[in-house]
Amino acid sequence: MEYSNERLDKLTKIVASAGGISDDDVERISSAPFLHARVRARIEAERKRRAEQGSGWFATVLLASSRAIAVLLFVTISAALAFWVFRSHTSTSGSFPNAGDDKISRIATGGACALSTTDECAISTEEVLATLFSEQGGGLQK
Amino acid sequence: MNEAASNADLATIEPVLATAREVADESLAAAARRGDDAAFEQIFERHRRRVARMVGRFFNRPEKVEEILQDVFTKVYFALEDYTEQRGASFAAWLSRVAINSCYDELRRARRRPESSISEITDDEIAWLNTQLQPGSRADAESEVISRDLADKLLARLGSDDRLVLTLLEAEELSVAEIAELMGWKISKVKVRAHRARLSLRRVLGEFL
Repeated sequence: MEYSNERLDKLTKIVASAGGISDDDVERISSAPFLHARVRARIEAERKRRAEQGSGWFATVLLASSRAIAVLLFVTISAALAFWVFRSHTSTSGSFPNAGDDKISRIATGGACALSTTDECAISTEEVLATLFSEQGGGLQK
Repeated sequence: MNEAASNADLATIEPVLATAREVADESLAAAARRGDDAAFEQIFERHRRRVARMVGRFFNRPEKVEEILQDVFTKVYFALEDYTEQRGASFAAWLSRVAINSCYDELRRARRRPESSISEITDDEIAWLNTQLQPGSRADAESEVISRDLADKLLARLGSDDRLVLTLLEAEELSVAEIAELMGWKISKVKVRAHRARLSLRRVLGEFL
């Protein structure tokens, strides 16, 4: 069945304005006892949630920054210690005889070769004996 | 003569009283912002009926209306700081904006929920629709109940924007300019949405007629 636009417009208006709850329900809801108390409880719950969320975020940042400080402190102390050890070994290297010899010097100073097993750092038996004999020879000459 | 004079006096006093009320709202809001719970309670008492009526236009379940009513006043409580920045806007208008936005959010959430299935329309309701289109039809108490139930079923088939604009225009009887102010939309946008919303509802009605 075809209806005029005017009638359809009227029905559209009726439907659009008829939705929702009745005036009686509105009155019942808005004058319900303890409604304000329920709103207050909701406000308190929301306040608590926000405080927890805020403190949670703050605590995370605090923990992260304290850990970062500890790591930075450890790295700084380690670097200072390593530098100090390296400097002290370098200064004592002059007391060894034949310190000018490259391979002996590397052993004596306790540098990287002291712990290394690479071919470059390896020292042969002949080289050790040659070193010992040259030391003794030097002593005999004296 | 005297009656006419007193009516004229009332007409003069009315805006002054309204202004005084707005000032009182402002003062209460300022006090509530400083942590005065009694001031917030007064705001609540003063506006709860109006907000409940406004929210009640959009939802057909009383418990949903009460939940949103509580939500609106909770939002208002925490947003009181923002209110001071909105110079020129009355507290009542600002509160209405918070309420309408809460309804709008809930309408959008409801559309996204898969469980919010659209109810079937009964034969009686289709017959009622057809009766309404007959010349000289009159609404009685029973048909009012049918129409409310049916209206919710039909409006649930619309998008949240369409439903919001139609309800504000037809149920709240707001002007296009007022809706634009309330929603922060341009007037042209409200007009376009209103036109589309009417077309959508007519299309929905066409399925059952």
